[in-house]
Parts: sequence; C-alpha cells; structure tokens
Amino acid sequence: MIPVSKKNSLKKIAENIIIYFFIIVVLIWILFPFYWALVTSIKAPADWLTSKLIPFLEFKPTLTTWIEAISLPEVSQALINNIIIATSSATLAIILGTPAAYALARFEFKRWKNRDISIFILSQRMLPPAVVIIPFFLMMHISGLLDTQLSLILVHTTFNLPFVVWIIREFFLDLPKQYEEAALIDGCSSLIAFAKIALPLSMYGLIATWILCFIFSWNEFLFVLILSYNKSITLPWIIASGEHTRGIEWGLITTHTLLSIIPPIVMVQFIRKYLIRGLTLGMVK
Amino acid sequence: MLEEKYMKYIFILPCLIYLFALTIFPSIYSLILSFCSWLFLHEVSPTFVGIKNFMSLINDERFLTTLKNTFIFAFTATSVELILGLLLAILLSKRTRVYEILRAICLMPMIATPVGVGWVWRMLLNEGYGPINHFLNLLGFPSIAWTSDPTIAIFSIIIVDIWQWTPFVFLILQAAIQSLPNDPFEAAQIDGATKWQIFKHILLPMIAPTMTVVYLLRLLEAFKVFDIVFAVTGGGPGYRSEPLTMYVYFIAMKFWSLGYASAVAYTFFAIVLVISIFLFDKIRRRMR
Repeated sequence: MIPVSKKNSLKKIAENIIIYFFIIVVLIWILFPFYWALVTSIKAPADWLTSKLIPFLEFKPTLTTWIEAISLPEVSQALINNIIIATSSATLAIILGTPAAYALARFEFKRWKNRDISIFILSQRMLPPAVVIIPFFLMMHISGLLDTQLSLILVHTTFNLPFVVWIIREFFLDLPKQYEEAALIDGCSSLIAFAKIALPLSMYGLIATWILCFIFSWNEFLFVLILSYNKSITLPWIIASGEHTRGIEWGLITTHTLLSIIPPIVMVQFIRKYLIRGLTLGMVK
Repeated sequence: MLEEKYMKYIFILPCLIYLFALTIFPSIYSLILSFCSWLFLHEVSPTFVGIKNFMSLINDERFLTTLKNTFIFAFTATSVELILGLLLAILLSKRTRVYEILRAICLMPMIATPVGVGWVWRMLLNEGYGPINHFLNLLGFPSIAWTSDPTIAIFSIIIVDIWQWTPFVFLILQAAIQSLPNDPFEAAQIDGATKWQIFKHILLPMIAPTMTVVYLLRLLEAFKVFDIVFAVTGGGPGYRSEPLTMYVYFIAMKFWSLGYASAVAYTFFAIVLVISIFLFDKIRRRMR
C-alpha cells in the first residue's frame, strides 16, 4: 500500500508543478504588456527605445513623462470629456433602458410578442458600426453637433441602450413577482410598483450595468475618431494620435494609455461577477 | 384603469423611439445611400446610380483584400482563442484558490482600452527596439518585421486579439466546466475510460453549447475589428492588414465617397448578418 500512495503523491507533485508552471507562464503573458507600459512611462526619454525592464537596477525611474503628459492641456480636456461622455451616456442608457426592460419582463405585449421585441432591441447592438458611420457623421454635421460632447453621448447611448434593456430584463426576470403583485392588489399603480419595489431590489444589477456601459463608452474609439477633432476628443483619440506629435513618443503614449486603462480596471473589480455575464449578453452566468 | 392599460407603452416607447431615430433611421438612410454616388466635398447631394457601386466592388482589389483580411483575422483569432481557452480551462479547472487571483488578472486585457492596448503592442513588436525581438535575439533567433512585413502584419494583429480575448474564453469555459455534474465523470473513471475518452465523449459534448455561443459572440466582434488594427499597423503595409471597417472609414472620411462607402458597409453587413442569424437562433432558444 505505501509504495502506491508514495507513487501517487509523487505524481501529484509533478502535476502541481506543471500546473503552477502554466499559471506562471499565463500570468507573465497577460501582465507583461501592462508592466512594459508602466516601465516605459517612468523611463527618461533617452531610455524609451531600449529594452531595459527593471527600474533602479537597469535605469533610473523618473516621473517627468507623467508630469509632462498630465500638464498637457489637451490631455486634461480629454480626461474631462471622457468622464462627461461616459457618465452621461451610461446614465441616459439606464434611464431609457430600465423602464423598457421592466415592461418586457412584467407586461405582456400582444401584437408583437415580448420575445420578438427583446430580440429586435438586441439586434440593434449587433449592427456593424461601419453601417452607421456615414449617417451619424451627416446627422451631426447637419445639426451642427460635430465635435461636441453631446454627439458622442448620443452615439454611445445607441450602442449601450440595447445592452441595458437586454441585461436588466434578465435582472427583473430573476426577481420574484409576488411583491409587486401584492402592491398592485393593494391598489398601487404599476409605476409605483416599479419605482418602489422592483428598482430598489435590482439596484446592484443596475449599478453593475451602469459601470459596464461607462467602460464601453470610455474605451470607444471609432466614433470619437469620426465625430471629434478638437473640443470633444477623448483619451483613446489622444493615444491614437501619438504618432503625429514629435515622432513616436513612447513614454507619452504609454502614460496616456495607462491613464485610460486604469479607471476601467479599477471599476471592474467591483462588478467582477457581472462582467462575464454582461459581455456574453447574459447567456453565460 | 385607463392609465394602467397604457402604462406598458409609456415604459417602452422612449427606448423604442430613441432606437428608431438613432439606429433604424440611419441604417435605412445608408442603405439608400449605397445605391447613390456622392462625393461629399464636391457635390451638394447624392445622385441615384442603381447597383453601380455594388458592381464596382467585384473589381475593387482593395475591397477584396480587406475582405480576405477580415476573414483571415476573424477565423484565425477566434479559433486559436477557443482552443487555447479550452486547454487552459481544462488544465486549471480545479485550482480554486489560485483561480480567484487568476480571474481578477484575466479580466484586465478585455476591459483595457483597445487603442491603448494596440499601441503598447506596437511598441512590444517594434522591429528595432521592441522587447519581443530583443527576447528572440537572446534566444538566438533573428528579428521579425512584425508590423512592416506584408504577410506577417495581419498575424501581429491576430496575436494582440488572442492576448486580449483568450482570457475571456478561458473564464467562461472554466465556469462551464466547474458547473458540470460529477457523476458522469466518476462513472466513466470506474468503467476504466482513458482521459482522452472522457474528454471526447463526456466533457466536450457537455460544454459544446457554451463553446458555440462564445465562439459566435467572439466571431461577431472579431468581424468588426478596428481599434487595435488602427493602433498596431494602421492597416499597413499598404492595406495588407486592413479590415473592412477600416476600409469603410477610409473611403468615407478620407476619400469622402459616401455612396461607395455605404455599399461596402452594406456588403459587409450582409456577411455579419449570416453569423448574427446563427447567434440569434442560439439566443432565442436560451431565452426566458
């Protein structure tokens, strides 16, 4: 008996070593680009085009790039634009989408079935952006909204809204109906049942969805590129135009990239459970 | 109550009106535009030209190349992501403590700003100064022209997409595997099935539906790729790594040929529609 278990435990140790080896390789593979960005952002310009990796040991870290990057007026403007656009578009999508989601989860539509309306709304999110580039540009051109925060808020909302309806509908379906039914029997209107019962009970889901919308809008690039050129540019625009300033300034670009990457990474830690559910449109929980 | 009867419409109409005004109307408008010719900077209004735009597509070499690029990119990247994600999910299916840390880190690539990710990779892949070639040289391999070699450029973009989205596939499949019941696996083990047999006849069929959904979702997203290409290669060299969305962007915003751009966009849309139909069929079946 003893040799067998010894053999087994040896096998187990070998298995563990292999698995931990894989985990370490995966972690290095995932984290290295982030580490590289961080290291480059604290290098002096003379070290930008080198493969030096370890601060203090291989090069002297400095914050000059960070100070330069943040003190550029267009960067602070872009950061403000990012915050305003992402906050407004996420909020607008929640305001328009939550009642619609509630209607689809709780009421019965006769002429078109609830399921068809839901599928129709979701299908709007599958639309390739290439199809609406031109009409959006023309609409904003004609209405004089080009290069304004409002144009980007409106456009980002069109992509966030179907997402909100689809995800929040699932949250409402998960809620037990009884509370609202009891309220309706007591003579409450369905508006009161929605606002006083269903909304507070699904608050966590609403906040998680809001954060996901915020991140989508925060990272969005194609429409920012098309609809902005000066006043309403966001961080992705700044990052993408890094080439044109004075050659490619690696330090500045990595600093801007980190400025743009850090907020979503911090925010997503609060909704880890919902990220996958959100990104798969609720199909995987 | 009269009010109550209309309440459901009051709930849903704002959303539907918004979608009609800002997605349905624009898509119909660009469908009409695809049958017109309109050089935006020179002509005040579009002129109807019938299917001429669609006829020119067949002889448009750049269109055919970008179409091919999009297909190569989408199918290669998503297939590698699915296989790698599955391998990792099987390998790391039982490590619960490490998993929490791994999961938090796996979330990072998929929510990091794609343009930023693209730029960082452009630096990593830089031919002369990038750490990846530096590393290859240390191992005794020659440097690779990741972004300037016409045949390699598209694979550099595929690598970035794999980096960004394999963790996503991994997390989903890992969760799917963990939620499977234990009995079939125990029974198979008692019956003396090999690991390969268990994988092929029990595990794979059980997680196949999840794999299909994840694959279709990824494929649909991969067809729309723009941000990372814009940052990593800019579509170059020439247009050898340019995807369709980027070609539409160039025709519309650089050559200002709005009619032709709409025709390209709608042809592209028709392709995406086929994938969407498969995906929506799956969604419908899972719907409550």
